[in-house]
Amino acid sequence: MKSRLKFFCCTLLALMSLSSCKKTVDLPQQSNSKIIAYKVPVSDGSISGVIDETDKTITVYVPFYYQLDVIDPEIKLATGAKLSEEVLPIDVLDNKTTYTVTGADKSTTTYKLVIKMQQISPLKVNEVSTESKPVVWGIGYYMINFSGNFNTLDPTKIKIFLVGADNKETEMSYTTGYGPAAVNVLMGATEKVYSIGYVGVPQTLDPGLYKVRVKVQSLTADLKYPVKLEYILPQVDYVSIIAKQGDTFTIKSSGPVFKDLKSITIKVAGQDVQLPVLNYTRTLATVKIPETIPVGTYYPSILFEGFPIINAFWPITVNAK
Amino acid sequence: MNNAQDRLITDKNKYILMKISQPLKQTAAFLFIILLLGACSKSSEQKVEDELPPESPNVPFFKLHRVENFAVETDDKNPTETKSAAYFSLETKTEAPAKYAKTARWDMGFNGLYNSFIAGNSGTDGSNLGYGGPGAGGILILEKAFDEVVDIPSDAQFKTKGGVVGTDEHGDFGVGTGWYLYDFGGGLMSNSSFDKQHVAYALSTPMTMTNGTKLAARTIVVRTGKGNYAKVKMISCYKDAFTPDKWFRTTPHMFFTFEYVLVPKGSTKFEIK
Repeated sequence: MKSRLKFFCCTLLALMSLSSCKKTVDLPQQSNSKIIAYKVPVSDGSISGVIDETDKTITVYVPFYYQLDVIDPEIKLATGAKLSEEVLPIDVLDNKTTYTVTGADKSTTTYKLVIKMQQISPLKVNEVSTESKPVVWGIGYYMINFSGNFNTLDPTKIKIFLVGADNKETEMSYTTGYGPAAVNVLMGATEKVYSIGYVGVPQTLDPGLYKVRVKVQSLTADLKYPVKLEYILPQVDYVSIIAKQGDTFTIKSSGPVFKDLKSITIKVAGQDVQLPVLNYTRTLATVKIPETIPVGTYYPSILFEGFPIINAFWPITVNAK
Repeated sequence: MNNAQDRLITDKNKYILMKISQPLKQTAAFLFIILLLGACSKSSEQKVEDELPPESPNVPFFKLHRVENFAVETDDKNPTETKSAAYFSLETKTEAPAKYAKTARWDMGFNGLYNSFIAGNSGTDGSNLGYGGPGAGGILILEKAFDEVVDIPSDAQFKTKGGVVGTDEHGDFGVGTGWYLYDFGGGLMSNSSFDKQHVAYALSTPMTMTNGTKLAARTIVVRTGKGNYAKVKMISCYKDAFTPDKWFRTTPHMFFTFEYVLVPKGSTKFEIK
């Protein structure tokens, strides 16, 4: 009888305790300033971003084979929530994007976007120099070829830099007199070999040894052996000049730069006549046609100190003033 | 009472106690679960929207829109050198930056010779500027005047390759049915004079060649990057010059002028309301 009473008392107490808990166990209301889905549409569907509510990040893994430069996400929010920012495409190398969501309950949450490129690594680029001899490139020269496992046919995704002794990166040029850089691919012994051509040495660099650094989206590789930059025979771009006696005209270089321009000469009645060079830079020279030059068409010879004379095949047509 | 009787009473009590306590235990457990579930039910609820609201284009559907002098890079000194592609969004009536090539934010890509070859935005065709991206677009050209194009062709008829609509086969360097006729020597469409050489005749209206051949007007149909449809009338590639009498070799080019009507995905007709 005693134990039966004890049992009933315990049961009653338990029931009272449990029923009295009902109100206090109610979980706190969650904020609704939430991103609940983050998707990046691609050619064969979409990539889902991973939303981490603990550290408030959205992580998107972008496979290299889509060759995306940007992601253009579709963002789904909780009911009544709004984004502070307009949703715009984001560079795949961007690491500063955040999204601030304001909920219907006026709470705000800021998510940080983390884009992780899924590329085949490491990036391997074939050496252009050897341990004993650096390759020599002219300043402004633009017929340079690089090869490696770039895994892209898009030249704009392959960035090649020359790095000086001061560790400053200068990007090599791509648009040249021979057209934009192009990428070709061949099947090598074990993997595909991509080569990029028509890469140019920036016209602004000085002679010396430079390290070569290649970046393909999130991957970076430094070549082991440096390259040597020197002044080489300058290039004078083809131009057809029509000017009056006493006028000036300009010549340009879109390739190897001007260095120590000594003279521009034309033949007048079998005699060499120098055209005064008023001024010049690495890429541009201003030349005057003396008023005494007879009307006619001439083909100039251009001399840069230390280099063979350049006999141009473009004309200077001199008209009466 | 003997021991045997005592044991019998104790066993009976145990039995009764068991009979009473079992349903009580079950009731208590049931109540406990109900209470727990009841306590949890409110806070776990999180209402979400089923779908994103549909994205509206910046330009309205079912209206006639006109774009004048959409300029692309041109260099007559290097006519065969391919220039950077240009991207135009019919949905927002603006040029899209090249960086957006692999998004659905453009609908007509201009590339090839003089940027005169036009393509839709397709993410699935390797030759397309949008390859890899979400672009659901395509393009085709009809030998019909703009106003006569009413029915939207079936999706299977749209081409997804890059640069598929350009020079017309009746002119020089023609590639199939094109939106313009290139007159190299000036004699196909005019009097062969120097000024009329190298002129590109946009075929937005019916034209007659000097040999008497009659050319029907051309209309381009585009499925946009987002899957809507547009019919496009290419009017000119010359700056501020919209009729053949104003097109000469020295008229500034390439400045595309065109008109279009945009209708939503799922439509079967081009209508202007």
